[in-house]
Amino acid sequence: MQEQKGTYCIGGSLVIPMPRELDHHSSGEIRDNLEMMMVGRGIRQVVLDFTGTEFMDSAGIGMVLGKYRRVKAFGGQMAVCGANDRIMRIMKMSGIGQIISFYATPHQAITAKQ
Amino acid sequence: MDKEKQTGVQETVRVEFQSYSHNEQFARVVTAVFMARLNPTMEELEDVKTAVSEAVTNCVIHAYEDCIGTIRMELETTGRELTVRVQDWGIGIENLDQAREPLYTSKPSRDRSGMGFTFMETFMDGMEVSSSAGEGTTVVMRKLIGSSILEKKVV
Repeated sequence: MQEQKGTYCIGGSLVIPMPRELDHHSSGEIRDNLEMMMVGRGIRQVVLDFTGTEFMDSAGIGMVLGKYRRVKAFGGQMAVCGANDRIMRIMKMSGIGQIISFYATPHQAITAKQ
Repeated sequence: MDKEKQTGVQETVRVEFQSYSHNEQFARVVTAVFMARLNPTMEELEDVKTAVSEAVTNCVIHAYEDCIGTIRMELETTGRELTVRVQDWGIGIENLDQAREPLYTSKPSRDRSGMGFTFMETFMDGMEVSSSAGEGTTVVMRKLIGSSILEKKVV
């Protein structure tokens, strides 16, 4: 399976860039190898990078929650970074803030984990 | 020109498209272009785009779960009020009260948040849903555009 374009690893962290508009259509196109990366390459943290994301609706929330469940199932942690004020508001409305940590940049998310 | 200057003038745009998921974005773009004439704030624009996205996504995911059907979207302005009507002729909703509950989803195994109706209610000033099992669903949402600017002026 081809990974989402722009995905990269630093140490035990996997950073996945989110699309410019994260809706039901685009979230279905995000490909990842989470399970393989976590088991095969020792990934312990997955960072969803919203730096380039301008729009997100509840389908985006569903996608984040789905990834969170998969990461937790393998004993990993998940973080969100780079979300603008609008996306932060939507995430907080959904209660995601209680289970996922928010950071300004991928670097901050990775550093906080170490 | 005089006609255009009248306040309370009503304008309507109606579009029909098929329930392909890429049309979720199409619906948002059409809505944003149409409501631009009301000179909305960025927040108002994003609020309406989010609500429209939720309504159309419901048609794609739920109404026409196993097929491709027609979605009709009507956008109407009356003065500064925007009305969005999203209609489908899909499977309908059997239990509307349950569907509108926050976090409820009929498809928990498919990474759904169950926040669709909650977002429509939160980001618009009013929302009504009517549905008949086997016949389809209509969502009508309203929002007064420019209300935040008016409130600031009063203060």
